[in-house]
Amino acid sequence: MENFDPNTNESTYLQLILDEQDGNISVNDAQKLSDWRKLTTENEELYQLFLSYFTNLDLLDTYRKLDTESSLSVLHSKMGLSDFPPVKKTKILSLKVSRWAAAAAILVVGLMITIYFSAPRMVTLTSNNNEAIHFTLPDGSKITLNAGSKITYYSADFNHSRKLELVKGECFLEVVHNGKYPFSIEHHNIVVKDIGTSFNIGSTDGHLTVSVNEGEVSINKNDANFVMVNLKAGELANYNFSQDKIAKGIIQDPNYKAYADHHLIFNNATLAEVAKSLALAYHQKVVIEDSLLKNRRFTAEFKKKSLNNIITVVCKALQLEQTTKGQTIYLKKK
Amino acid sequence: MSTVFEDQKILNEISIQNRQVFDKLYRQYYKKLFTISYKYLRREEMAEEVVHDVFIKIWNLAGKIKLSYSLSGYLSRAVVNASLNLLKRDRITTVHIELSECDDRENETELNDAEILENQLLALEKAILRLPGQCQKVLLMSKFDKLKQQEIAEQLGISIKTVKNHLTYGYKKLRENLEHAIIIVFFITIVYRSFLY
Repeated sequence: MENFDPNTNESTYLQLILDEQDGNISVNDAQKLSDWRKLTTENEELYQLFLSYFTNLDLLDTYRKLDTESSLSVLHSKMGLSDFPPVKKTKILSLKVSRWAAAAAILVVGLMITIYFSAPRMVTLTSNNNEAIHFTLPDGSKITLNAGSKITYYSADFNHSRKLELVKGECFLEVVHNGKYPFSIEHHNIVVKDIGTSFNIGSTDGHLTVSVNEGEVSINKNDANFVMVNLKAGELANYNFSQDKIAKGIIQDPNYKAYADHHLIFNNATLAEVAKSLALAYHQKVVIEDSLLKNRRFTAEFKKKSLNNIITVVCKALQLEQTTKGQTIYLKKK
Repeated sequence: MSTVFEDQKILNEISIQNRQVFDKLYRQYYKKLFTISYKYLRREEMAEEVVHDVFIKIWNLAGKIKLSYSLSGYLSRAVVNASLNLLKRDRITTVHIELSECDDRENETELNDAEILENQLLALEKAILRLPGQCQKVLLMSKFDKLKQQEIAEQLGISIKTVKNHLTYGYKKLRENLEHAIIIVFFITIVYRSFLY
């Protein structure tokens, strides 16, 4: 604090201003300050300048504590409500509280709900290309729609006629059991009938793959009476539309539904497999820059971890370095 | 640096409900818009409400907005006007508002209060960081922790006289630092405007 003399004229009055701010100024000093302010316009300007610093410091304090992301999610939920009032009224979707904000955000754009007001009302659920979305169907069954997917159903009588149509893409279903009203999902002429289970169904270029996580499903053609195959937990079936052939097998990829639950299992998996599974589960590209690395092996289990978190662990374990450019993560040797 | 053309492109995207663009816009402007509104209203929940209302309006009416200057200026003005209207409506009397600030702003072209305020705050923060350690600490305790001089003296185990000296020195130094900063900001503004037009 060299070159600083607290007894100069200006410093004296600055101290009075500070005392006044502090709410701790004597009547005498208050008068002194008031007189000084009236003396010249410069004094008054100086007084106002310091007041503006006090104000701005208060504002800076507030500014620094602002949380843009939480404010944004509140905004999304406000918009979700006002943009889609029919959704709320008819309770087509009852969203999990913990995911409420995120889901509401997705409602705005990622999810387009088209409701035709002619009875029976058809509901279309569409996800965008970057993220999977979760919702609860009118009967309480849960559905996770993978990115770039679309399903439709009729909302009017869903509880008595539990039928979905997979228009494109993939979804994971956790069906609430109801013996009286069976649950089914169709894709073209294939009907998958479910008997209180959870299973995954996805279509890719001319193939439909059904993988059962729990319980049992039957795969039927044309209508629900012609059974092609029954599947139990851990089994999958692949139907080829052009050849009209169905193949039954055992689920090999433990991560087939990781986009839905972010539960990833790597059992002595190659880095190439790890990268592929992560990309499918999190909808972000993971590129291995050195082809020699692709056959390195990795074993671990992740439950509901963020992609970043997992990448960090993988990098530590295999001594890799990661860089992110846009939506793509690059892995290379340290 | 944005141009009116680019801003119009942003609005076009939002008018076709491009959420990514909308969210990006929000992330870019939320803090400064909240702060300018808070400067007037002094109530956080009201300031938040004002900013949200403006963005909801943008989301719904982006296609109908005609920019006469930058989007940044438009947002700032929308938030300031909404805040002032709220003040008038609720007749909130507050010492924080100078009468001149409530004047009608019809004749102004590119007056971006939100950006100006944000620049002031960032300059202030920089200036604070340049203060010597103990002096900075005392100043922050007095403003951010809202402690009285006596309380600071007790917490730091120093005399109240020393606290006063730190504060006096600190504010004088802030003023010096900021006066340099103002010249720079002025210069940048000139360059920025000549770039725009």
